Amino acid sequence: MSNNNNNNNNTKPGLAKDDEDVRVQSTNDEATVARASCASVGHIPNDPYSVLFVNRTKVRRNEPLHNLGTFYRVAHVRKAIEMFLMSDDDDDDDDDAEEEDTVKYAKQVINLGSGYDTSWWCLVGNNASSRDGKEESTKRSRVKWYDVDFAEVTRRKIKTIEKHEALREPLGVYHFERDGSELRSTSGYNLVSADLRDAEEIKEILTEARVDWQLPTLFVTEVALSYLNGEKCEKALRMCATFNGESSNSNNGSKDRNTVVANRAIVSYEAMRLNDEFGRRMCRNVREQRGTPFLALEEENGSRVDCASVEAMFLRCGFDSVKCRKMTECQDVLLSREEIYRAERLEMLDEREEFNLIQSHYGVSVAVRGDYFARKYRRWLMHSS
Amino acid sequence: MSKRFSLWGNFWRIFEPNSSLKNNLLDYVIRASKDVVSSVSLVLLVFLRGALFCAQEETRFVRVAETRKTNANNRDLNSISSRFPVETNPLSLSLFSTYCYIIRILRMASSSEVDAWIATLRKCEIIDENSVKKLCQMAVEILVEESNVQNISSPVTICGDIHGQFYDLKELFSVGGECPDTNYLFMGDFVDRGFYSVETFLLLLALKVRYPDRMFLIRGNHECRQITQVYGFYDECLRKYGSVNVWRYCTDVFDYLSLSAMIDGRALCVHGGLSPNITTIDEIRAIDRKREVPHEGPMCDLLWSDPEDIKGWGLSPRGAGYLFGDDACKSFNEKNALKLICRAHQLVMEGYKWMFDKELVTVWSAPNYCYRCGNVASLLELDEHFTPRFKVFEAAPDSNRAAPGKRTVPDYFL
Amino acid sequence: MNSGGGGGGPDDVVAVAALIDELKSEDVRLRLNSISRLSTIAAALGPERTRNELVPFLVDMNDDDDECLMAVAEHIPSLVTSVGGDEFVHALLLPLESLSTVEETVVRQKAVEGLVKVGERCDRASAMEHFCPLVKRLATGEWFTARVSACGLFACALEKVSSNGNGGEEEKKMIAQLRSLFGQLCDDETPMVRRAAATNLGKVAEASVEDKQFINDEVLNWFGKLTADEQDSVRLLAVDDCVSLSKLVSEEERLKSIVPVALKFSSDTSWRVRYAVAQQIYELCEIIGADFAREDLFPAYENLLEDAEAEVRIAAAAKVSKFCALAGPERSRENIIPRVRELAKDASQHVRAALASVVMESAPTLGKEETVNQLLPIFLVLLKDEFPDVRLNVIGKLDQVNEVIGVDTLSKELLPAIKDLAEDRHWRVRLAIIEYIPILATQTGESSFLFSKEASTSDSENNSAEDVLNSLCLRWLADPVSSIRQAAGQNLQNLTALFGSAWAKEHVIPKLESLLQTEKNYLVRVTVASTLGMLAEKVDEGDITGTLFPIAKAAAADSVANVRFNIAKSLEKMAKSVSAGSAIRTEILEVLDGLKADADVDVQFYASEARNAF
Repeated sequence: MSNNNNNNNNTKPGLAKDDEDVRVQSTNDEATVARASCASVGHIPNDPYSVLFVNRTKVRRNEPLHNLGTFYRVAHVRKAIEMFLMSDDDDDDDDDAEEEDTVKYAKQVINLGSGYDTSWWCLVGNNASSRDGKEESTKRSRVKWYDVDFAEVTRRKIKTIEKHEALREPLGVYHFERDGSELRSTSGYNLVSADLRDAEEIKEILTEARVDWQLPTLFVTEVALSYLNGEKCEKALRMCATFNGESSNSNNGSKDRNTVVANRAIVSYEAMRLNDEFGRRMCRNVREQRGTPFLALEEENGSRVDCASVEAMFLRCGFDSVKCRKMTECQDVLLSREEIYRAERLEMLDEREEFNLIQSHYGVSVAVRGDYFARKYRRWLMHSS
Repeated sequence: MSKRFSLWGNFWRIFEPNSSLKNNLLDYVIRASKDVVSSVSLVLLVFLRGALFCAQEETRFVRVAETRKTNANNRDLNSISSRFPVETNPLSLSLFSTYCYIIRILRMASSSEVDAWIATLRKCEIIDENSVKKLCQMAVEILVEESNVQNISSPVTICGDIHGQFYDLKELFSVGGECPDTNYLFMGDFVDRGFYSVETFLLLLALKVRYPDRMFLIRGNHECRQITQVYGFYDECLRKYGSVNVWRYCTDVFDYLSLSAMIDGRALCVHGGLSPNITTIDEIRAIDRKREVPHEGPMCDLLWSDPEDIKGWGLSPRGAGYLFGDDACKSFNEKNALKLICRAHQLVMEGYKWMFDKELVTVWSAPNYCYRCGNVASLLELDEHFTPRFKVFEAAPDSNRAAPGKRTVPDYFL
Repeated sequence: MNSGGGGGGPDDVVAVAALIDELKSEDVRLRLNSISRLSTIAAALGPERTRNELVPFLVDMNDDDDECLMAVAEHIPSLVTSVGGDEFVHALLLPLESLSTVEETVVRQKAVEGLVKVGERCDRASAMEHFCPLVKRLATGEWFTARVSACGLFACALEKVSSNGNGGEEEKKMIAQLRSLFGQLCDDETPMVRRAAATNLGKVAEASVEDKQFINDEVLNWFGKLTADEQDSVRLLAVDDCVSLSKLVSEEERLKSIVPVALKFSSDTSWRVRYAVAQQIYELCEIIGADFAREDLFPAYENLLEDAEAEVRIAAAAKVSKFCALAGPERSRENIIPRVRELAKDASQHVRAALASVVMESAPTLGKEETVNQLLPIFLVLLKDEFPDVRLNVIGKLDQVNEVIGVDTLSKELLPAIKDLAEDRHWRVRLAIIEYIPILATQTGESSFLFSKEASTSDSENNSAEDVLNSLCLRWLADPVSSIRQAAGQNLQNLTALFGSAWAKEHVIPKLESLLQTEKNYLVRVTVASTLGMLAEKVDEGDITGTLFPIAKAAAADSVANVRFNIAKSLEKMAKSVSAGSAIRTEILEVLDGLKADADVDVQFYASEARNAF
């Protein structure tokens, strides 16, 4: 018996020999299946798109607990994005000010590690088509959108988009770049391939993809930062908060640079360690069974221990103000009672304790830099809801 | 009732080729039914269903039938007569004893077969569909006789939810001892969520059939057709057997599982908790339990309710059952002369949790629940002096598990 | 074959038609079912129709479902006999070729596996005509998926074409073309292709093992490129090539081309690469030999023991003893053991666990004195580790140390630690200690102070030792955990077998009797009841008559049925251990007869079983 133990310990570290691509993609596939399952149950009524990204045999109905958790995840992130996309009373005139040949964008969303996320289609794309018919009746400003992920993922996303009319049509005219791993479209939707772990590379690639660093920009991450170690995560966040498009070798004199950085915000749904048994087990399971460890969470005293450490990290990285809430504690800040009531009724949960346990290890953070976003997310940033 | 008659039909079909035996039996039925009031005809059916199992060995059956007046164990008689109003009719008594004797013989005769199933299941291997069918029939024979409030005497080891975590059940037995050396009461939720609901439930059921006086199983909220279709047992049966027959056999057994157990008249064990519609133990006894778990009402509440730090009764966030407070629990205990309510149903990170001044305890026996919660589990040993001892245990080490297969359910949000 | 062109009876035809229909079904499950029976379909169709109808159908089968595609890829190789033998197997290449270019990685992998299987069945001519051109097509494919798949086929193609001595000019030309294509893939612009090339480099080299020139010039050149790749995931895979290539090249080339790469890798910026090195470096050292390894590779390994990344230290720690054996006692003492000492205090429990499971094995290399001076303190640290797996791993290997250091040192140094562990919070640690006791007892013997009261003197150290084994072995019988109680009974049986009846009578049996009489928890009495039977198998008949049986007889009246039926089982063992026809056997059987009439069904059952054995 003891021999068995020993053998097992020798092979302890979770470094499977399988293809790295497969592992990276598998977490994305999992999230996509989760969204599709969640949508099919009726949690996300306006998302007929997610299911298109799921291979037919992999369509699966997840257990109610997972569907409900996914609902809260998607609903929060999308609600936060939507709040940004709603027209702003103050800069309405900005929109009509110039009517030129080139499209004038007023806002920008950059989803880091987007996977097959369909937020653009749900929030922007489905309005775009109706807009063509009528005149500028929507209360939304034109938005430039970037979904960023590994080339292996973006390539597949492109393939799927091409296969389905419903995904293709809202894009308008589009073309590919960088060996078919990137997409640009006249609708403002772009797919960019980059490795999140390399903040310098991302800066270059985004700039190359014509990201307008002067626009009010909302970054989005959904369980993407959790895979980065503390150092890389902070580099990425620092880019979100302060990068203004200048090449990185003029790194000193940061005071000047800060002043020119336009309004920035980030909405981020990520896991937290909480240093309890569930959190430790989560780190171990994700590492051993998925092969793509939650590096940020593995640090016992790291920046993803609890809400406070997460908030401290955002502030360290250049945001002015931040609030991180556990999923168990943020329900009615962004969502209406009706939305929550409807979701909670859809499927019966056999167990509340486990659900709360899992939910408490995930949190939504909204961090802002500049007044524009501070006003937008005032309600979320207030310390008592 | 209709189910019983259908069994009756099967019975005759089996005996078709041997007409003399059939006639013999027919005589019995006719003679018996002449004298009897309605409850005895019920007994008769039970007897005949018992005889059904004898069908494999017709010769033995004849012998048994001839010597039907042999002594039956008094305790068995009592347990049966508690279900049927006591009859002084001598014929019904003799039928009782015949029935008991047959059951005894059957158990002896089938023990080696059941032992073989147990040995297979202990290795976490499934038994074939026909064996499952047979096992489930045998289990129903036993469970049908159990009261809604099954009487158990100490010593006994009480366990909470298992949820198909087979290797953790093995760990539980490593800590608590194997059946029959240790007497067990499992308070439901054998299936769903874990990877091995089939092996887990069938092992417990086989132990129940083999050692009916040492192993007690009561029903949890997951022992139900509807819930198992959502939480994994149905899919698992389909995956492992290629058909849903095994799920059907098992869910039919679920309907016969008792709702609660009473230990030494002092501790009431139930999966979930109390019901605002139940004030006395006798009201539990009066429930007609042989059915799918209803969405509301006393039977549902017993399987779904949770204790909570409130006064009186509250709505459950689970959408079934109630929340009950300290006062509701204490007055129930007082009225029924209970010292303790023992229940499972809720994940407790520490394995067990006392509430209400130690008048209620939650026992949770699925360590690292769903392979992700990181909790410890416990079992409650009540010795022959009613002294409670909790044994806390952790999940089985990886080296004791089969190689983890590819995950079929998502564990986290990725 | 035997079914000829007609393809079986009418029933078969219907069945096959149904299967073929299913292949086209909308329902994925039906398609999957049909695919899994491809060989049945093919057998029924006969070779000609399989080639002319089924295979083209498979080529055109434009299934959009990955699972179906994977199943097709998996089952096509099973058709090799159905297409009409080796002469026609190449027909199967076509459907696999298209599968080997799809997007889904797992499908491609299966397709490549299938292509290799089919390729192996091709003869040289058909390899030249069909397989090699296919490899060439894929290798020059526009989409990277084709090129990735091609990488996995070169070894097979080269083997086919160059097998059985020299081929003609055509073959030579083909070999040259294939090699040059593989060289291009090693330098492909897409990292996925380079990864696949790195994975297959060793196999390609092995397939050309006779051509030293080629290996030295070209393979090592490609190897050099791959090992300098900018992507760590490529370099990572090239680490494995170090070992496979060093088996193929001369000593000179090894030292010139491979060792420097391994050294460079051992301080690579990517920890994954270093991790791979830590796993492979021992094998490399073995091939190169201690004399050459001493200079560069040993220091590299020693650095890996101090790596900043825990995963790397885990991999390195797991090789400690092997390295000690290779490096010899002196270098081990100077360079390895000091690092091991640090690893025993490593912050990562997994590092400590990995170390704990192998470190004992270096005792024979170091010899008694060094083991006592250097290793023992490390063992003691690990034995007290807070992480139970670490403790368990050490205990599991303690016997290997016993032999080196001898009983006296062992008792003095290790027993206090063992005593602590015998009461460890974690029951598996206690279990490991119990399982270790008989080994210890075999080495020390009964006369040692460990197992007998008399031998213990007033010396306090010895007192504690006596305490350790004599009373612990008995205390385990009442352990809260069932497995421990059972192991305790087993242990007492083993010790009785070792030390004899008198020892048991003096040290064990009185304790059993008092437990049965006074222990309030039936679970403990159950254990004792079954231990009685286990001891009966090892003690003299006189002791059964005189002590064991009277105790069991008294316990047969226990208030709890579980105790009674365990007594019944033990009585059976007693009856078997005494001579047939003896008075004592009769007495035993009488008690069993009494238990047969017990009120409890299970007691009746076990008593009858026991009784029926006679």
